[in-house]
Amino acid sequence: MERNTGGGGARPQSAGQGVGPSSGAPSQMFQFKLVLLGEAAVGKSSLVLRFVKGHYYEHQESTIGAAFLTQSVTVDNAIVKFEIWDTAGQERYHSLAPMYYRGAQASIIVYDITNPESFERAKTWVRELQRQASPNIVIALAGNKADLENQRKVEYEEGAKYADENGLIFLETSAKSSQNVTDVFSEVARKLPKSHSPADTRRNADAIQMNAAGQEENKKKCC
Amino acid sequence: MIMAFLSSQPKRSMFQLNESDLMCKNACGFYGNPEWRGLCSQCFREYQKKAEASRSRHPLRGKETLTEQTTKHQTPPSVGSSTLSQTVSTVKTALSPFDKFVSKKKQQSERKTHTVKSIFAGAAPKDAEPEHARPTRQVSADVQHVVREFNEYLQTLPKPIASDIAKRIQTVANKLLDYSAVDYSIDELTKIAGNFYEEFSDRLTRNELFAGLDEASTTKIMDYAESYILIRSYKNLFCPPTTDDEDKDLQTQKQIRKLNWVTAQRLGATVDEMNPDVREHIDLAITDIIEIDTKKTVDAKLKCVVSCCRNIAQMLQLSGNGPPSADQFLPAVIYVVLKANPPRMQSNIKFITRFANPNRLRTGEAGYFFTNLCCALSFIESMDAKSLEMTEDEFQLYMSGEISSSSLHEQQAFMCDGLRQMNKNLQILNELKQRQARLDEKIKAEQELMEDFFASCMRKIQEGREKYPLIVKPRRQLPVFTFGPANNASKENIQDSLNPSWADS
Repeated sequence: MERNTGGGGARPQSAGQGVGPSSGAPSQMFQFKLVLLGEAAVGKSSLVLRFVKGHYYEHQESTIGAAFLTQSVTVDNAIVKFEIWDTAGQERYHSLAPMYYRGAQASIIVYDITNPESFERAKTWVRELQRQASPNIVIALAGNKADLENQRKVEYEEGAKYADENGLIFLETSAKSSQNVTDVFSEVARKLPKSHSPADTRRNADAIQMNAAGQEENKKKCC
Repeated sequence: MIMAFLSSQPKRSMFQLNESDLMCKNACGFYGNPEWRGLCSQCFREYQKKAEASRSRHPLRGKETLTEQTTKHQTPPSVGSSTLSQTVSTVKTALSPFDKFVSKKKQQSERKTHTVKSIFAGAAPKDAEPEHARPTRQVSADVQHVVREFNEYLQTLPKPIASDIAKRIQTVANKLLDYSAVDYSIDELTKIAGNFYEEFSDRLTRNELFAGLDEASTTKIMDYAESYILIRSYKNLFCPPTTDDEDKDLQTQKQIRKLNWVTAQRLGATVDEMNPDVREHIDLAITDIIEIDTKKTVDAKLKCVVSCCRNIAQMLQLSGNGPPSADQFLPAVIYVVLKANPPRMQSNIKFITRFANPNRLRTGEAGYFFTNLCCALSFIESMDAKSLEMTEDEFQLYMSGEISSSSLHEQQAFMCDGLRQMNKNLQILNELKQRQARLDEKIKAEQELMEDFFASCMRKIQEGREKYPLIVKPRRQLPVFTFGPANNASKENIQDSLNPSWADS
């Protein structure tokens, strides 16, 4: 059941399938669910589009949408396929977020370096994930719009310090100049467990339990 | 006089018409009587005899067909009562569709209590009961379709694998069918399905028997298994009477009806509703979301959800916001749900969350879109002034219908096909007008160009004429040749010059 999703069950697959550089040698493929959180208009979708499509938003964009996308990166001779779930950042939709991050193995919390409020929002997301999401979730904090250096309101040190205290991956990114965009995903991929040893089966069990709990919640919430 | 004559005319013709109708309908030559269905006394007596004979045959036949329909999970002793309630419901159908619905519901629960009683009466009939019931079950076209597809697929697999799969799925399908028929709580049924998915997929991945199967086949088998076990007992699993799903459905529908004034802008989505293409995608999304209720398998329901969400994404893209982000997407889904007011939404969502293979809902595109739909519904249920960023008073005024937004009128007007067509035509006319203006401009420019050309030509000609004026010079006097001695003399001169002069040599 959890083979292709839950705990990252290994599937031998040729490296050519991923977008990352193909090493030629057969590498293993892992799939993870990654949820994007952050205030509205901090550039969550631009970040994903930059990562997935390799270019900043242009008008002739023909994709179906940036809300749900998949992309792979190659780290340590393994292909990590991300299934990226974008969330609505508006305050009024905040209470719905648990439905999205339920069962996610990774999360990128995005804030805008020119907007101190979005940084505060990011902090509340971090706290919420640490409290409510899966205990093994890998969290990255991304200070987006790093290209707008002259309008900066949140210092690099501020973000780095907070991330350090909370054990998060931290990078300042720019979807516009593509600075650090792939790096943030690769860092997450590197930190995700990629073994299907006994630890993996335990994770599997976690995932199932979590799902049962999630269903309960779902019943309460939407039905 | 004339008036009287005129008025008597139609009367007479009507009377004449009636007269021909007075004859017996059997055309035996005697007069008939309306009380005897237009027959004469003789023919009516015969007719009555026939009717009586057929009536004595009919009730029996009627009972048989009815019991066939209602004994799905019925023990033989209670057949009589079920036919009774069936006739009651048919009498009630004449009253109103709602009464029919209520009586049906009652009948359904009655039937269930009967079966429960019979089970308490003794353990032996319980085991025998499903065996009795199953052959008489009416198999709907949907079930047949799923079973056929699954069987076709199983035939492509190696025999030992196929028989093992079939056996396991059959067992759990029967279990679910029997348990759901006797009012097992919905949580227990969910657990049965959940455990089955877990065990079965575990078996598919770990058992050596299935070692040869690849990822795609196991997913396919899981999907078929899910469809099969659920469709067999769909009627008992979807909106079961043991839960309050139905009340919730009605509640949600009412709530959505009250919220008809909510616009996409209020929710935070930019939807360009005046664009006919956008409008078309909204319509398609609405159709898709309504269609969810007509599908009977999780797979088909989720396909509708995906199709709906793709249309929404396209609609957002056409609205000119670039690739739609989740900031736009979720509000748009909420908006479409509000516009569609899909039937039995709660029941459908609950059916999927309870009985779908949980793996499907947590990952993949379908999982993501379904989550969005759940979120949309959850948001609608708890929608208040704060979630729409307006004051409490304003919200209440809107909810009670005391004020309606101005754009509501526009929206509703836009829902009307004629108006939409008119809008489209206006747009086309506008476009034509613009093109006409452009054409006019071009013509004007062309004309100016021609005029310029003409003027410049004229100017050049003028210049040329000035530069090289045509001067008519007086005619020169040509030398006049005269014939006479002088001429002879010159002739001689010429000859002299032509002839070699000997004198010189």
